[in-house]
Amino acid sequence: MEAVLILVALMALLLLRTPVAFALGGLGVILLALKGLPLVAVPQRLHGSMDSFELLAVPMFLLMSNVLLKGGVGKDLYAAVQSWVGHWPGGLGVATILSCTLFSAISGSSVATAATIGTVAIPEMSQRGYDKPFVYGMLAAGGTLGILIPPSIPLILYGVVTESSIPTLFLAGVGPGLFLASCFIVYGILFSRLSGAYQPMPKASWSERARSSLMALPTVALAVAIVGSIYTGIATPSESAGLGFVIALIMTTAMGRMNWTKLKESVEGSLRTSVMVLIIVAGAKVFSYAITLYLIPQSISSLLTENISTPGLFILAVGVVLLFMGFFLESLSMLLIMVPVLLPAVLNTGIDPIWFGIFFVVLIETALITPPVGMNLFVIQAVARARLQEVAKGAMPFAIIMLGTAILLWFWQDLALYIPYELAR
Amino acid sequence: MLLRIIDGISEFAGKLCAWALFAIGFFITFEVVMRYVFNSPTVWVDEISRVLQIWVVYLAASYVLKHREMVTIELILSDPTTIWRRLAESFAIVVLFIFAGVACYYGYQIWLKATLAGHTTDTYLAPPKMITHAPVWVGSLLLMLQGLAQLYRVWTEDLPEDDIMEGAH
Repeated sequence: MEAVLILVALMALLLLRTPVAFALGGLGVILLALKGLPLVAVPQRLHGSMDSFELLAVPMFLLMSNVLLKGGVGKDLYAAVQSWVGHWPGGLGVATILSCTLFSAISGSSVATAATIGTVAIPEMSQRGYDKPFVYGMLAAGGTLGILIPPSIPLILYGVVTESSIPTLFLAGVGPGLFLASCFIVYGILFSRLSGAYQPMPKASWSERARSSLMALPTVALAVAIVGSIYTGIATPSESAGLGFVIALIMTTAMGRMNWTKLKESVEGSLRTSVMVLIIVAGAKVFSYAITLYLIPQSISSLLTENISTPGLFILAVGVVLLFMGFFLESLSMLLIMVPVLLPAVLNTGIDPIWFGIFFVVLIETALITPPVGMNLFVIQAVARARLQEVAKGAMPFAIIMLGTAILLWFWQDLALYIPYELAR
Repeated sequence: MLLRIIDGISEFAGKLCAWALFAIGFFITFEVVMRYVFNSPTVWVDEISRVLQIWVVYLAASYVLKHREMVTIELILSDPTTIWRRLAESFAIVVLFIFAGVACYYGYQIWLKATLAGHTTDTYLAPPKMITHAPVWVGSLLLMLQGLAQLYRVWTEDLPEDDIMEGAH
């Protein structure tokens, strides 16, 4: 009963537009006060929540991708990929998803991926007669790859909250990320072929291909270096992010694409996004401390394990709840609220927490493109100046593909776990 | 006048924190280079970066609030001209006060005790807690000040439309 009341109170606060961080922190404080527990724990938790080297990966990756963004790498990537596959049937769709995939390897945020590639790809695809809702849906969905293909901000936060290895989580995201990208590409080609709604691009000459690939090469090399350094254990995610930021800065400056104004904008923009994310982590820390003292995760865990006999049913129940919450909640809040609540139950049922992290992120991705609250739908709506209904309609098939992938993940867990547990051993 | 001073403090804190973040990037790179190129890892990068991160997050919270970039669920009450919206925004600031007030008051108590006793952290560098334990209460204080400024604005100025691109950096 207590759990339901707390959840209702939290939802009410969030719906009344209380910033997520304050809703979590404020409710946490109230819960502690109601039980007469010492409030001195609040500043202690707040301090402890940020005293983490692992968490530094969040601002560092944001700095790196912002510097690259201001350096115009979105355009470079798209132009390079387009020169190779643009003339295929539905080739611009293929180019869009490939660009999103490549950009995902330097950006940990789906919103940034959708916005960056969307700005370049939407006008191009619209000019070539592609079906508008399809284009919007493809960009909204392609953007979500940003949080599955490493680096990924939600996976960093999941790792910090559950004390799981962030490099292992990153590696586990690669398989499902590439699988989803392939499914999007196949769907894109089939849709374009069947609807016929596109004008094929002229085939690019070899010199055009060479020129555009050369421009995109440094970014691709940086992405490979980042993933590679984490994969081989040369650097921790925070270290490769910090290093990646400095290399990105040197790279864009050497290419003559960085100036004082752009640098200032990217540094200040990174700060705002970092604080926006990390202050929620801090608020969530107070909230999860309070609900732990109320024994809520434990009671939910025993409720679930007493009533649900198999891990499969448990995952199904969790999936349905997360999907429902995803209609209303923004993705990071969903992760930071639900993971501490569900973790004891996950461990009790013997589910691998690394696998669960990936499953969770795939569901978050779905939440990002399902209305009424789907951040990527809003972003594409703003970038394309389109109607939300059009974007949501176009995103629907992609949401179904993602749900299918979430189900497949359960039956074929190696899709996520093979790379970290077998290949990287 | 008072409003301008509060805004100015938040803005200054934000800019300072942004460049602190920039510096952390270079510290971390320095560490990796020292470790692999010179085979002599540093003893200070990990700790200094963590302390700076705590400062950055709490000190810049007021700056992010000032720019209205705190993550909010914008599902209902999206018309910025209604009284209900103003009431909801005021209520949100009350919740902020509860959270930041407790963090500031108790954070200050912990800090004062540690400072008067001359405590240091039990880490290798052992910096004084006077520096490492100040960000939570200082940041919460700034957050409350900015909260007051925002509360005043809710009732005296037109509220902006929702910015759906917030955070899309």
